[in-house]
Amino acid sequence: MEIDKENVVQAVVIMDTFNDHFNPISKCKPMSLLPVAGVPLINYILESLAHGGVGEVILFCCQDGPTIKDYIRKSIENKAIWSVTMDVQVMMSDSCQTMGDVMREIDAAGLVRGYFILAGVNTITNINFGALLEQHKQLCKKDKGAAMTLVYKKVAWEHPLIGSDKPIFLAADANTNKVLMHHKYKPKSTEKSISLPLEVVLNHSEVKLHHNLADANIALCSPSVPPLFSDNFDFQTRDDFVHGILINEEILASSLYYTLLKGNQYAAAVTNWKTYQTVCRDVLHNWAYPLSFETGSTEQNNYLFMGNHIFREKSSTLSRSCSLIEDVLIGSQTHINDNTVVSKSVIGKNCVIGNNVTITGSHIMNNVVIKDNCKVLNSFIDEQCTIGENSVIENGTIIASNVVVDAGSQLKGTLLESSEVDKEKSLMKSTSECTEWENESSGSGGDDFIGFEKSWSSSESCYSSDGSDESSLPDSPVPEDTNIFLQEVIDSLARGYEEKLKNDYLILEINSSRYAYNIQLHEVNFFVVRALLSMPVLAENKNVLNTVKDILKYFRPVLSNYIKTKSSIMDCLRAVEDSCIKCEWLDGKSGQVLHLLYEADVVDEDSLIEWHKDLEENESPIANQTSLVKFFDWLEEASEESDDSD
Amino acid sequence: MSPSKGSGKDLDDKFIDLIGKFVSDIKNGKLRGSNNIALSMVTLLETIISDSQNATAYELCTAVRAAGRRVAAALPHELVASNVTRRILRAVRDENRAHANQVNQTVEGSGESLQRLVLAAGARRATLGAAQHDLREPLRDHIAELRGELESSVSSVCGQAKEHVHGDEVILTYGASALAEKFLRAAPRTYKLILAEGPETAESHAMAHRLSTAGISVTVVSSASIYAVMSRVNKVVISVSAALGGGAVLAAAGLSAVTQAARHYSVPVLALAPLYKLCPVHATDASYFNALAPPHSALPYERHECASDNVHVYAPMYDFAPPDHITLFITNLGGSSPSYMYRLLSELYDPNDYNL
Amino acid sequence: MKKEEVQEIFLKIMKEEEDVSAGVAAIRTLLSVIENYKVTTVRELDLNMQLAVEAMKHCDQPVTAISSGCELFMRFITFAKLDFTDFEECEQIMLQRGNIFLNTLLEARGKVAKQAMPFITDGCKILTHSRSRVVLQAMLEAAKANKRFEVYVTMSCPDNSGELMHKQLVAGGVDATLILDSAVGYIMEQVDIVMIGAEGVTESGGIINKIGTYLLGMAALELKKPVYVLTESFKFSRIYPLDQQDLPKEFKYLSSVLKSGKDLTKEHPLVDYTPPAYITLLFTDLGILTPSAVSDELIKLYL
Repeated sequence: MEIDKENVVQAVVIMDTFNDHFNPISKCKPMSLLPVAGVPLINYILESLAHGGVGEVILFCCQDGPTIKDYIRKSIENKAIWSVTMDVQVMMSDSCQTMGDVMREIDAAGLVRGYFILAGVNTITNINFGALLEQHKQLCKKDKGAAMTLVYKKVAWEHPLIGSDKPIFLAADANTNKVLMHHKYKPKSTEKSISLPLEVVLNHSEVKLHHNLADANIALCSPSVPPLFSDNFDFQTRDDFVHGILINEEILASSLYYTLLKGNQYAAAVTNWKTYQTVCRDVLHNWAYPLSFETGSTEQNNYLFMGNHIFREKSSTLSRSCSLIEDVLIGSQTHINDNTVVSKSVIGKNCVIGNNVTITGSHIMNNVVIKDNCKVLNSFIDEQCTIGENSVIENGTIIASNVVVDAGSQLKGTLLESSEVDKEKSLMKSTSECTEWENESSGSGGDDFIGFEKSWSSSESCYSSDGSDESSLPDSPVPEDTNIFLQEVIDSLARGYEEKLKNDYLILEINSSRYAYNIQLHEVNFFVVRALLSMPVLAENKNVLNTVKDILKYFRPVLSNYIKTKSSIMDCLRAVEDSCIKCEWLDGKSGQVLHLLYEADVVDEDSLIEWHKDLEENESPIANQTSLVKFFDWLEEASEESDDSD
Repeated sequence: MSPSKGSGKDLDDKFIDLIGKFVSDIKNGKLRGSNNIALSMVTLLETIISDSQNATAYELCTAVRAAGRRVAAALPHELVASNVTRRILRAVRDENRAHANQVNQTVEGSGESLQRLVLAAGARRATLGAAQHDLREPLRDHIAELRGELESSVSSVCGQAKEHVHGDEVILTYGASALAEKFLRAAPRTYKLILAEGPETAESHAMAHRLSTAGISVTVVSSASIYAVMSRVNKVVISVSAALGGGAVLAAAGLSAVTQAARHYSVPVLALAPLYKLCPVHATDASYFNALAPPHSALPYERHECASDNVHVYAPMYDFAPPDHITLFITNLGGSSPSYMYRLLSELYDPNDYNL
Repeated sequence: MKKEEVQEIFLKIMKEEEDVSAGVAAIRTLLSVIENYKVTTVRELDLNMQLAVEAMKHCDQPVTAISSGCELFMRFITFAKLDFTDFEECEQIMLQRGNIFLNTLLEARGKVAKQAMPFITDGCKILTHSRSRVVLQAMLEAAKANKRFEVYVTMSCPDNSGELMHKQLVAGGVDATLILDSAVGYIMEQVDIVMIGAEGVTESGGIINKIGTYLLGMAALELKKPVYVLTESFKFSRIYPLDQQDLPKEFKYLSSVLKSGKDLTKEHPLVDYTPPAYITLLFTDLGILTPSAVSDELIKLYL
């Protein structure tokens, strides 16, 4: 069977959402393996792509790449339906922080050969991708600059997909479907007016204004999209891209189009807990047909339908007195005991639910044990948890995996995570200002959705006028930018070292990163040296000093480029001090490192002595390290000798 | 041979790949129409039979059954595939029996019967063991015959149109169906057709258009008015998804209303069911009756009701009509009454295969 | 061979093993007759069999099952290929085959229960009449398979055998309710399916069962509830009644009543005939049959 490489439809799926809306769950497992109605997210997108006629899929992972690779391999072994017609490649990259970085990487690697489909892993849809891509291609024939067609679904005003996510306002030319204006609002924003530029109305005979669109995170892209991302470093997210193109239309010579999904097509993106709940319900209600909660399994029809959208797997057992009210999905081998009431919830496999338990509006993953007399309302309980007797868990509590909740606890809107040290629960945060679950009732006073109110982090979009308050992590002393810069330099250097790239290129990279993050010169010096000493190869290698020597030898040109002046040498030394304190592989080796630097002529004697004095004055922790003391002793001797010899 | 819960181990990997391709073709919509699916299934099973290493009856049965099970597990609503598997299993057993020449008193037919009981024939369950013969050659003939029958089934059903549809009659049909369309075209074109819209109105309208260009006088009515027009109808002609054991019928959603109305007005109902649609399952197999189609046809997602949490929208995929609603089944072999279904089933399939 | 001895054997089996149905007990009695009463010719054996059957019919036990089971057994004997000159050998072979026959019949109940399982859906309400061991077994198996269903049992006078059924169901963990015979019409709208046993299956496809079944069938048809009959295949008999009066008297009344010469028009019959129109499906060990298939089976055997 000849596969015409040119005609294969390609799709790129970005496996991370680059935000922590799903903390603490997204910390322990990748977003793509988060189950929606019992099926990991990745299965939905893969199966719908296969149905749509896509031949090649590139999965771009930024964290947990090996886990995903493993999962894909297992699925192919089990002859998953999509593996017959579709080829899946997993790309891994640790250095991408945003979707923009991903696109730049894709451009750099040249993976995409033409028109392609861009989707996020959190999309659940049943559209025919092949047909939509054809439509986009036709569009591109008419308008050479058409860069991207955005796909939206029309929903009702009051729909939670809009209400709990960022609402979009779109203005477009009605005849050509070209996007003229695109604005995203904060959720529950109180803006009541929009300003529409006059040119929009004057230059087009018919303008459509949309405010009832749900963004499904799907876009059909022309080959010009990855280069556009590469050219414009400030495009971090797709919204940036949209804004950037709309503002700089003539400069970039690209335009955007949009398309609405037809009647029986469904598309939605899982962006936060509220949308998660909505999408779960939609999948259960069969809106995403032919995707369903049985997607991904080769054997279908293992569920009994008991009316009112209650589905239970054939091997699950229910006691006689338990009652399932509506919208319930029960996984295999789960046992539910007497007098338990379950409604609007998803329960995973192998769970044991005790007597007199009330579960409403919750999502319970596999292998969970809930003991008697508990109440679980509007919460998410991850795998392997145990909830003790008489507990009340409500108001949007999220419990990560392997947590044991003691009997009688009352949790309202908390995030629980098990700490690795003692494998017991540790309360991360409770009723903090920023992360709070909310019960939002849509008018009728029922506890409808899991609410999640959070101030959006600045990594979302630099065009939006959101405040730049970040999600407050407990300790983040170093400002983000410099941290990122450091990380980037480390990556560049590590890559350079591994692949033996020319130092000039590395200098170029470091410089461009510096400009991108607006780092001061002395900081650059500091961080370059710091990066050199923090390279991962050092952490792995046993013979640290030898490796340091190699590194210094290899990167000599880089060092000499940056460390020229006195102040830069001081920066360098300070960086060494910092590294020796922070990096464990350099523990106790500060003296040797300095020796190597001295030998390499990077630092000179006077600066060393001056720095040493500083250390003692400031009582730096490494001042008394044996190796350091030894080095300076030796230095003095050597200087005395050289003095003598003079 | 008692059906056992066989696993995929019974099948070689290359067969599993073939089955995977077959399943994904159907799921992607590349393979459509029950006749095409039946023919592809025959081809698939033929490949499995010719390529299997061991050609004894037992091995072949195991392989074919495993393949049938896999397809049924992956596509539970494609009853035609399981029916074809059962036909081939029956062919294997028949060949084996013909070769074996076992007990002198060869009992006619297969499966259980009082006669068999009384004879206390030890080899009552047709043993397929210890068969030495390579059954591939004779099976090839059987399969060719089966394929011929499948290909000609549509035309043989339509060939009977003249007997049932006479000029000046008012015929009612429901929904869009390729088979019903061909049947109606094959009949003398002087009758009047009333076409009731099925769940997919666009397709019903397209069918009405095609029939009217063929020279038939067509009136399209909505499904709500079926009862109202039924009193003037002479015959109802419908195409079914499956004819079940017992003479009941599994058809597109909404058909039950048509047959109920017909029964009330004592209008004969003709169900077009080529033999490959005869299925030995019984009415209460809930998995068919609780199959849900996408709810968009009932209520579009854009409606504000769908935004609310308290609204459940159902669009059942199938409808069930009991045997007393159907007057006649029109199969390849001619017409037969619903109470005769069991006989046809026992001739087509071996009772041991009713549960694949 | 004496009548009383046969009756003794028969009644002993009936009394000691409650689980055994009258038909199977009758066949076992006949087998023991072949074993114990030595004869020298086939004709004599035949006569013995007929006498034994007569004796059993006068035991005040339900005659329908006895009659059909015994007829099948007799048929079985006449079918046996007896080309052997030695009668002893013949007898041995007959005994052997008789035991095979009996064993197959004993498995029958299990098979029927298994076939009925998918029809007992989760959450369904079942109405049953009087006491049937087959229905009991089917329901107990469904309860073991963790299906949640409710059963309504009619009391079924005059012998109130429904009460025993109710007790056995409750002991097996099934949610059962005892109702009056006259409450059948009242309860019919709430139930999903009707499941009954049968003492005999006629050639027309109808059944002969405890009195009150006919009424049950009529109510079910009126309210469009399916009626499923669970029965073993040896209960198929060759009679073809067209109405209630066509049923043989031995089926309807106890033998003691018939012997006493009372005026039968004033006696209460024990069984009635339910025509095939009221029956949806028959579950037998030969498979799930529609009423029209029953005659097919019988024809295959007897003609």
